Amino acid sequence: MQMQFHYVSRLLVTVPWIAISVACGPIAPDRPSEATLIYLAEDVPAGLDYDGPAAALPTSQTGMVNLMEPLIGYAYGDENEDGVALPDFETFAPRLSESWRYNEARRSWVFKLREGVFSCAGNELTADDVVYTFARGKSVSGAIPVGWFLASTAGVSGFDASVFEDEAARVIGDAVRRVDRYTVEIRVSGRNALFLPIMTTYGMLIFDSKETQKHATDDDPWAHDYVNNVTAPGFGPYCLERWAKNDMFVMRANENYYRGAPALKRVVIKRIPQSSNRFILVKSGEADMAERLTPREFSALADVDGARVAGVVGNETLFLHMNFKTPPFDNLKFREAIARALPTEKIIRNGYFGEARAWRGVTPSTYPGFVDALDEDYYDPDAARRLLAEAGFPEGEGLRGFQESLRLAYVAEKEATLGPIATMLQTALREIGVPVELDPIPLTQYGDRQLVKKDLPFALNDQEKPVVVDAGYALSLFFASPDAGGINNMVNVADPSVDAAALAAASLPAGEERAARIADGQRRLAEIVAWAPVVEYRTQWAVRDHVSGLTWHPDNAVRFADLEIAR
Amino acid sequence: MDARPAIAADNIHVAFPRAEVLRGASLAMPRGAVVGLTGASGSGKSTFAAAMLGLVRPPGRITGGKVMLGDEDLLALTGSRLREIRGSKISLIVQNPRAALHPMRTIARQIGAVSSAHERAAPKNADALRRQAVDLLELVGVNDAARRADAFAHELSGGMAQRALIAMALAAKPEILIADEPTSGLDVTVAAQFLDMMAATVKDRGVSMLLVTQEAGVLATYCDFVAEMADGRVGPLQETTTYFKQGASRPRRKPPPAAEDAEILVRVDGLRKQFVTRGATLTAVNDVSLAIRAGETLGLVGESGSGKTTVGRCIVALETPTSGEVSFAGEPLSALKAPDLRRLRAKVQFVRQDPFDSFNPRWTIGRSLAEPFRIHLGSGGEEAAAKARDLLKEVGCDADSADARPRALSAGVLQRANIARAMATAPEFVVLDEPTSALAPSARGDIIALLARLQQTRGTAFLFISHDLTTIAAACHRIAVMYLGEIVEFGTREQIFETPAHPYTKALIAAHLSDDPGERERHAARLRLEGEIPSPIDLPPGCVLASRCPYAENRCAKEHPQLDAFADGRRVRCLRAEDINAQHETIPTPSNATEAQPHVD
Amino acid sequence: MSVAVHDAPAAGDGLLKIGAIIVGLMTFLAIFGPVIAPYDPTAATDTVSTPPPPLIDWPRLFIAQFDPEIPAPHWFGVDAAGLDVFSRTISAPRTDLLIALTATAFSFVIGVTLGALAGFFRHWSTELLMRASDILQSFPVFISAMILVALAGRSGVNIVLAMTLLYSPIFIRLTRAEVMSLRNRGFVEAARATGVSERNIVFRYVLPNALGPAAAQASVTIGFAILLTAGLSFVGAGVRPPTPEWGLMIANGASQIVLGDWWPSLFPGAAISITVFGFASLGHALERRYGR
Repeated sequence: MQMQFHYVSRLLVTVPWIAISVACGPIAPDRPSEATLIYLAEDVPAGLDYDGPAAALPTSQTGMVNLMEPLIGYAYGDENEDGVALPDFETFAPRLSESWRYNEARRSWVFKLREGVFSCAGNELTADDVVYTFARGKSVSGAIPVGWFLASTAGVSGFDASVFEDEAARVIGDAVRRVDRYTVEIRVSGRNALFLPIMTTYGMLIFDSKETQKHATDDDPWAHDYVNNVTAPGFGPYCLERWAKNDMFVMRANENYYRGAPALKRVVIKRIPQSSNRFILVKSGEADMAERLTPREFSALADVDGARVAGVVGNETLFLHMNFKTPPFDNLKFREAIARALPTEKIIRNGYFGEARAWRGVTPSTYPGFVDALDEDYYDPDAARRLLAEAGFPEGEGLRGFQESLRLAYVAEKEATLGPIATMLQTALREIGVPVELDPIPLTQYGDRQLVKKDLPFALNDQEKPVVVDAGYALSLFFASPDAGGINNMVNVADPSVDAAALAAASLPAGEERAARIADGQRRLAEIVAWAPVVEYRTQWAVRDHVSGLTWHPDNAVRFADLEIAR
Repeated sequence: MDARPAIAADNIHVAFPRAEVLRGASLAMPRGAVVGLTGASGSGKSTFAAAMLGLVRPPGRITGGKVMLGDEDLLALTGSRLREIRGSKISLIVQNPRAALHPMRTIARQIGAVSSAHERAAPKNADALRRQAVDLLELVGVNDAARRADAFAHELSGGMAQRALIAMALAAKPEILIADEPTSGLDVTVAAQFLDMMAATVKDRGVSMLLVTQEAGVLATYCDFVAEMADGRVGPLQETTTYFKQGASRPRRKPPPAAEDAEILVRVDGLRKQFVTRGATLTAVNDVSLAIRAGETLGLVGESGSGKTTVGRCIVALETPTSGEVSFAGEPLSALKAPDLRRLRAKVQFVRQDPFDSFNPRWTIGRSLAEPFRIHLGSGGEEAAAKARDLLKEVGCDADSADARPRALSAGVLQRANIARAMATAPEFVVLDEPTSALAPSARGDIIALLARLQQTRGTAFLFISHDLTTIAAACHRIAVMYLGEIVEFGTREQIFETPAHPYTKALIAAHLSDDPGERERHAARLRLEGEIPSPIDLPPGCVLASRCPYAENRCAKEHPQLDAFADGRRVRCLRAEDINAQHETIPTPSNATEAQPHVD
Repeated sequence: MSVAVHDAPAAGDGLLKIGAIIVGLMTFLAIFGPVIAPYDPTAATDTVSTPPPPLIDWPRLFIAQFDPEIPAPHWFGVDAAGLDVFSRTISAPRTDLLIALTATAFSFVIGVTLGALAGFFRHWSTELLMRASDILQSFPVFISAMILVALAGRSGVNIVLAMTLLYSPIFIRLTRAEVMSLRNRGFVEAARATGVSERNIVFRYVLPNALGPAAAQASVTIGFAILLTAGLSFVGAGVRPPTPEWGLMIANGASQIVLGDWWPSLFPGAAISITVFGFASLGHALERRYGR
C-alpha cells in the first residue's frame, strides 16, 4: 500500500508537467533561419473556394487572397500614422493583367494579361485561365454562388438568374472568350460603375485552370472538393505547404511570383481562438502578428516593449439594427429616439479605448460615394426623450408589452468586445426610459435569424463589411428591397426612393449623376433611421516591431507578400 | 471478606444530544456477589453498564461522575492505564454476541488477543495461547472445544457465540464482570444452561458480577442483589428476596374466570404461513388451528422462532396466510375487501411488544390515541381528543400524558397508552404480542391487572402471546404451546402448568426460572433439552422435537404426530404421549435417559 | 451495542456556527443586497477597468462615505463594461439564491413525494420511476443542465426547471430508502392495525418521519445549485447578462485576467466558494446532529 501511494503521488506530479509542456508545445514546426512569420488568427481557413461554404469567413478569405491573384487591384499610396499603406480607391493598378480598356462598340472589357506569370504548379497564366474562372462561376456548382453574384453585379453578360432555372444557361458561351494567348474579352451589359471594383475582390481571383482541372471528377467537375480541402491553385505569391484544418495553415513563398519573390519565405497561420491567448503570444514574442484582439487588449499592447498596434479606419462599423417589421421598431420616431440616445463618445472611450470614430452615415466613410448624413451632435438624450414621447411612449410608458422585441441581441462569441458596449447602450436607453434586456446569441443562430429568417428585432452588429468598395453597392446590398436586389436587407427596409437609388447605382456608369443619386439614397436612409450608426472602429493588428510593410485591403486580410521582417 | 465494594459508580451523568440518559446513577457493587440490574426498556441499563468501564456509544458523552475501582477513578483515567484496566480487572459482555466478535479472526485468536493484551495472564507463544483458549472454551461449556476454537464468528450459533464472549471476558481473569443481557436472543432452554454455567464460573473464581436483565426469573434465580433503574437513576440495592416480596408480582395471581359457554369469536383453521427468502422457503406456521371464545384469554406460548407472533399477525390480518382460514364471528377474513377489512379493525385490535415502536414518534400520545376515534367513530378533533384523555385515565395514566411525546414517557406508562389505543373502539378481540416483555419486572403485574380489569368491564377476548411463563400463568385461561410452527400442546392453565404432557412443555416449564427466589433449589433437578432448535427452513419430516427429545424413538423421526385428544380433554402432539405420562417418577435427564424404562400398567 | 472511548471529541458545533453565519449573511444579501448596493449593478459607470482601492485606504474611504456629497468608492473596482464589481457581487445572491432555493425546494417536494410512494409501494410504476431516476442520475449534472437550458432557452425559469429535474433523483432515492426502512417499523403496522388507510399511512405517518436525510441533503443541494447556476452562466447557458450573477461575472472577467485585471473574477469567485462552503457545512452539521 505504501509503495502504491508513492507511485501515485509521483505520477500526479509528473502528469501536470507533461501536460504543460505539451500544451505549450512549439507554436510552429521548426522556426528555421529563413524569414518566417507566425500569424495568429481566430481560425485558419476552413476552405479555399470562394464559391464554397467558407466564402464568407474572413479567416478563409485570408488564405484565398494569398494563394491567388486578381486581374487588377487598387493603387497603394500613403501610409498612415501606423505605417499601414492605404489604397487609393479612385485608382486601379495592374495585377495579373497589364492593361485593360472598355470597347464601347462591343460593350466589352478587354484585358491584356501579363506574360511569364507562373503558378505554384508551374503553369503559365493564359486567357484560358480567365475563361475557366468565369465559367466556373457561372456553373454555380459550389455551395454559395459568390462568383456568379459578383459577375452579375458587375454586369457580365449571361450572369443572371436564368442560371438557376436552366442548366443550359450555365455554360459560359462567349460572354468571356479568349482573344489570344494573353488577351481575354469580357462582355457586359453596359459600362457598369461596379465592374472594375468587383474585379479586385476575392470573388474574382483567377484559377490555374490546368492544375484545377487535373483534380476534376465526374461528380465534381469543377473540383470544389479539391479546392476546399487540398489547395486553391492560383497565381498568387504563396503556395500552400501544409494545411491542418482547425490548427494551422503554412504557406511557402512562390519564388516565381511576378512581383518578385516575397520577403517572407514562410508564413504560418496558427489558430488561437482566444484573443487573450493571442495577446500573450505576441506580447511574449512567440508570434509575430495577431489579428482581432479586443480593444482593451490592443490598448494594453501599447505598453509592451517590442510590439505595437497598427491599424486603419477601414470599413468596419458598429450599428444598431432595428427591424422595420417588428413593433415598436416600425415606428420611425421610436427608432429616432433610440438612435439619439446612443452615447457615442462613451462607447468610443470605454468600449474602443479611443480607437474608433463617430459614424455619421450608412456606408463606410472610406468608400467612394460616401456622404455624411447626420448632424454633428446627433447624440442628445433630451431630444431622445422628446422623440420617445412623440412616438407615443412618454417616459417609456407602454413599452412593457414589447419585452420580447426589446432584447438587444449580439453575437455571443464576441462577448468580450460587444458585451461592455451592449451594457453601456442598455444603461443609456434605460435612462431615457426604454427597458432593454441583453440577449447574446451564438454566431450560427445569429446569422440564421439575420439573413434567413430576417426576424431579428433589435441587434448590435459589428460585422458587416461590403466587399465591393462602393457606397452604391453597399446601399443596394443592405437597403434595397428584396425585389430590387437587396440580398442582405436585414432590417426589411422597403423604401421606393432607396430602391431607386439602388437601381441607379447598379445601372449608371460612374459619374456625377450616379454619385448624386447615391448621396440622395444615403440621406434618405439616415432620415428613416434604417440603421442607427454608432461608430467606425479601427481595424487593427498586434505586430512585433520587427515586422513592417502592412497594407490594408477592403477584405481586411493581410497580404503577406507585402511584409518584411527586419533581422 | 473485604467490606469495600468491588467497584462503585457515583453520580454518573451521560448525555446524548437530545436527552440526558443517566442522571446521577450510582451503584456500589459488593465484592464477590452477583448484582442484578433491571428496569424497563430505555431506562439506561446498558448505558450504565458501559459507563462503568468509561465507555459510551457516540454521540453520547459521559458528562459527570466517578467510577471508583480501588483508589482509581476510571472516568478520570485515559489511554494506557485505562486500557490496562479494561479486560484485566473489569470485563464487559455485550448484548449481541455475534456482532461483537471479529468476523475475520478465529475464536482462539480473539481469546488469545485478550490474554496477550494483558501481561499478567499472557502465555508467551502461540501454542500456549491456543491451549489456553481451548481450556476456557471448555470451561464455559462449549462442546468439542478444540474444533470450535478454530471457527469464525459466523460459524457459531447464538449460544456458542455468547459462550465464546464469556471466554474472552474471562481470559484475562478479571475481578469484575459486567454482563449486559447475556441471554437475550437465546432460547429459554439454551439460556438456562448458559446461565447455570456462568453462575458457576463466577462463583468459582470469586468474580463480582453485574448482570443486566429484564427477566424476573433470572433475577430471582441467579442474583444475590437487585437494583432497579428508572429515570436515569439506579434505585437502592436490595437483597433479592426483599425485592421480590414487595413487587406487584406477589401474591401469584390468577386470571378471573371466564364464561364457560361463550360463543366462539375467532376461529383459526389449518393456518399455514410460509416466507420465501432467497430461494429457501421458511415455514413459520405449520397447520395451526384454534378457537377463541368471547371474553376469554388464550395464551400462546413458545420461544423465539416458534411462530407464535406470526399466528397473531395472521389473525389480525397483518399477514396473509399461505393457506388455511381465519374467521371472525363466522366471517372469513380472506373474503373481506380492503374497506371492509379496515372496518373490521374497529373490532379486532393488536398491541405490540415495544411501546416506543408503536407510536408515531412525532405525534403526541393524545393525537395517536385520537386516531381510532377519528377513523372509526368519525369523531371531530375536539371530541376525539377528549375521548383520548378519558381513555388514558381509564387505563391508569395521567391525563396530562396526552400532551407528551412517546420518548418522554416511561415504558410502563406508554404500554398502557398502547393498550388504551387498542381499546378505543371497544373491540371484541385484542391480540397482544409480548405486551410485558419490554417492561421492568415490577411493572408487569400492573399491566396484567389492567388487562384483567378491562376484560371484566368490557368483556374483551385476548390472545396473549408470550415466552414468559410467569405472565402467561397470571393472565391466561387456556394455553397453547408452540414449537417450530406447530401447536404441540393445548390445554387449560392448570393442566399445562401442573401436569405438562408434551416433552417440550415439560422442558419449557423446567427451564422456566421462577420469579420466586425460594424456588432456586428446585430448579436444579429438572428436564433439560439438549442441542439447539433446528432451522425452520428445513423442517424435519417426523416430529419436530425428535432431534432433541430425550424420549425420542426411531419412529418419532419418521412419523409426524397429530394433535390428538388426551385423557383430560386437552390436546397433545406426541406419538408417545400416553407412555411418557403414564409414569410419574423418574424424569429422564440426558444422563439417565437410557435407564428409564416405560412402565406398562 | 458498540462502544467508543468516552473522551472522543464532539465535533460539529463549530461547523454549524460558521455555516449558519454564512447562510445568514447570504440570505440577508439576497433580500437586501440590491438595496444597499452603492451603485446600480446593471448600470455602466463612466470609467472602465478600474482596480479596487488599496486596502490601506479603505478605512479613510469608509469614513468619508458618511458625507453624502462624496460618491461611493468602488470597493471591488470596476470591470470592463463599467459595472461596479462590489454592487454586483452583493446583488448576485438574490439571483443565485433565488434560483438555487427555488430549484431545491421544487426538487425536494417532488423528490420526497415520489420517493415516499416508491418506497412504500412495490409496483411496476415505482420500479420504472427508480430506473428513470437512475438514468437521470447517471448523466453528469452540469452537461445535462447545459443541454436542457440550451434547448429551452436562457432564462432563470428554465434553469430552475432543469435543476429541478436533475436534482430530484437524489431526494427520491434518500426518501425511498428511509421509507423502506420505516415501513416495517412498529408504529406503521400499529397504524395499519388501527385502520388507517394506506394513503394516510404514507403521507401522515411515514413521510414526516422520513424527511431527515432529505432535509440534510437539501442544504448541500442548495450549495451545489448555486455552483451549477454560476457554472451555467460561466459557459453562457445561464442567466442573461448583465444580470448580476457570480458565474457570469467570473466568465466576463476571465478574459481580462491576462491583461492584469484580477478583480472582476476574484471577488465573485471568493463569494461562490464561501457560500457553497457555508451551505455544505450547515447541511453537514445538521445531519450529524439530527441524522439517525
